[in-house]
Amino acid sequence: MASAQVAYKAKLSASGTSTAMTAQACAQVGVTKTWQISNSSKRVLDPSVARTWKDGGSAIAAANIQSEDLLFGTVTFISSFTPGGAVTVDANYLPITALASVKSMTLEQTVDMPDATLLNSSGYKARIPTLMDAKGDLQMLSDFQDDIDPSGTTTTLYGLLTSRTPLLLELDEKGTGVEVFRAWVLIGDEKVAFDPKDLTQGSLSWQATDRGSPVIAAASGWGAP
Amino acid sequence: MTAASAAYPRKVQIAPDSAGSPGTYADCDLNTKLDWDSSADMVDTTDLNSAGLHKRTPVLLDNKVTLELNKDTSSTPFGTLRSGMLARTQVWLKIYETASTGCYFPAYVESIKSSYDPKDVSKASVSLVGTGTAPVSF
Repeated sequence: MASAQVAYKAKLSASGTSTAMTAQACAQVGVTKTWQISNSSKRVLDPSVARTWKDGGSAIAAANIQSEDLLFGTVTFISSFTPGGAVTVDANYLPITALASVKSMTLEQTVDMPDATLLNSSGYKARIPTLMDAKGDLQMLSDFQDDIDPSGTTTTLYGLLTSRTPLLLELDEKGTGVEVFRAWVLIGDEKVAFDPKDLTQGSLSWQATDRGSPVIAAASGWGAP
Repeated sequence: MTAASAAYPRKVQIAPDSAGSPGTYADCDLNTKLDWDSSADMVDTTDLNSAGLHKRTPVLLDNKVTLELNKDTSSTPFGTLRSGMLARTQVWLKIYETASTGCYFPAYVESIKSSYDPKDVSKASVSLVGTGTAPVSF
C-alpha cells in the first residue's frame, strides 16, 4: 500500500566538471538491445563530447546504434546488431554532487495540448499531446556564490546564470538512490535577500532545455541512477 | 431532493490505456483532493429583433480534472499517470460519485507539479484534460 513520502529525505544534486573516461565497462540490460555503463557514478554523459561505443575494443559503427540516453548512460543497438565482445565506451562523464543549502523546491512537468477538435465529431474537445517541458524553482540558504563543484572547476550557480551555461540537475525524491529525475536546465532567475534578522535567502528558477544538434540529449527523464 | 453528502468516501481510480480501452483500474490512494470541471463552451447567438436578452448556444463539451496527491512514486496509479504523460498516451479516470455509481472517461495528463518542503510530505498536483471522448456512466 502506498504511503506519503516525507519530503526532508529528498536530495537535489548537480553536475560537476566534465571528466574523460576510456574503456568504461557496460552491462546488458536484461535480454534487450540496451547496454548501460556499469559504474553508476559515471552514467551522466557530457553531450558536448562525442562518445565512442566499442565492441571488444573496436568502435561500433553509428549505423548499428539506434539511440543513446546520455542522462542514464545507455546505448541501444539496432535489432540486427549484437555485440560479440565486451561493450565499453570512451566518453566524458559528469560527476554528480549533492547541492547544499536547499530549503525547498518544486518541479513541474508539462505536455502541450493543442486543440484537435474536428467537424463531424463527438462534440467533446479533442487534443493531441505535443511538446514536453519541465521547469522548477529552488529556495536556498545561499547567495549562489558558493562553489557547487569543490572537487573540480570552480562553479557557482550565479556563474552558470551569467554565462548562460546549462546544468544537469538530479532529484532523488526519496533519497534512496533507487530512482531519480534528471534534467538539463538553464537558470533563468536568481533572487537573494539579506535581512539582518534572518539567514541569507536565495530563490532560483530554472527551465529544462534540449541540448540541441549535432548531439541531441533528451531534456529530462526518470530512471535508475 | 437528495441531501448533501460528505466528500470523504468518494474515490477515483486510474487505469492505463489498453488498445483504446481501460486497463486494470487501481484506487488512487493518497488522493487528498479532486476537482472535476465539466464545461460547455457558450457561443453568443443573440440576434436582432430579440427580447433584449443574450441568447446562447452550447457547443463543445470538455472535462478537466485536477488531483492533489501526497506523493508516493511507488504507487501504481501515480506510476500510471506519470507513464501516460511521458508517453503522451491517454489514461482512464473512473470517478465514483457514490459508492457504486459514477462515470469513467479517458484523459491526457497535461501536467504534474511536485513540491518538496522538509516540514511536509512530498506533494503533487496532477492536471488532466479530456481527449474528445464522452464520459460513460456506470
